[in-house]
Amino acid sequence: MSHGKSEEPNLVPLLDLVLQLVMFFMVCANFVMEQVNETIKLPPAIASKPLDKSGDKALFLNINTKGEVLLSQLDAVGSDSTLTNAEAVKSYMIRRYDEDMKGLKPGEKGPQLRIIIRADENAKFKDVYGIMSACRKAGFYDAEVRVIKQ
Amino acid sequence: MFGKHRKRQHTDFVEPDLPITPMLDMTFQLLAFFIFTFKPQDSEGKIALTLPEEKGGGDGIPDPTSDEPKPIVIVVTVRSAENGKIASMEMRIEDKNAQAGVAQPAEGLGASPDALKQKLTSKYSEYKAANQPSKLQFEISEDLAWAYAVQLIDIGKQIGFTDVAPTVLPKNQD
Repeated sequence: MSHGKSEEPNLVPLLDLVLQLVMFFMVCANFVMEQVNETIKLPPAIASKPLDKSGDKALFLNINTKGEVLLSQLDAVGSDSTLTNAEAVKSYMIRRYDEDMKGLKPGEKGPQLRIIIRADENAKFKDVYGIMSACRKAGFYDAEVRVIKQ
Repeated sequence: MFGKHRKRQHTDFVEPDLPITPMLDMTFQLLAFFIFTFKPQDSEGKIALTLPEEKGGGDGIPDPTSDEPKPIVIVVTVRSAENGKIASMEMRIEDKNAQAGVAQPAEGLGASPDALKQKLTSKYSEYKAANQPSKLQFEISEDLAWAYAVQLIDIGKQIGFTDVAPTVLPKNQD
């Protein structure tokens, strides 16, 4: 019969493991997704390209099923956060275009602001097209359409 | 005075005790929080598009000094049903013959995107073999759901068209 000796479980490896798990979830958590509206359900597409992580200036136009443009708090400075028609989008885009052109560095040509269209899959084509046309009328040429990669 | 050494007092060795249990409790709480709030997002991709130009804009005026062959335009007209789905599609070719007023009649494709894909693939291969540049244009009914419009653009990009332009179908043709 052995003598009774108090033995405690070694919790340090368990703590190491749990801390690693916490680190994993902290890194995966998307805290800085302010410009992306979670309520927008994007359509799927096969031929889409992966997103580049460039630090270019980007303007996210989140279009809901009603055809309204939902701007992030960052982009809505000086205007409404919801643009309800193409005319409002046009005047907003003209302002952004002017701001962008004023901020051009020597040697840079054309608008540097990237237009990113995140339209809900149930939005009507005429609404999305109207917003794309408004961007073109404001002076922008290209846009990225966001989809779910398949 | 300086040469004196203090005699070190011997004390009993005390093993430092680090209470790990409260730290582990807190860490488990953090872990639980992150597990419950973790929501893996679908990976997003992008499709690059040129924004639609205004009718009669400067880009629409052909450059007479340009030697580059004018691209053949494959125009797909898409009409929508009341629920926003594709009701029917037609395809026509806008080439030299069409400009001369002897255009071929539009070809009905039904409502199946697969039929469109097959037809566009054969056209794309035909023009590519002849070294003839071509572009794809969709004239889409206003009420079509955006998901179907993206599906059509996606088909064009999958086949290999670099220039895919969605436009809105004029009301009188809807």
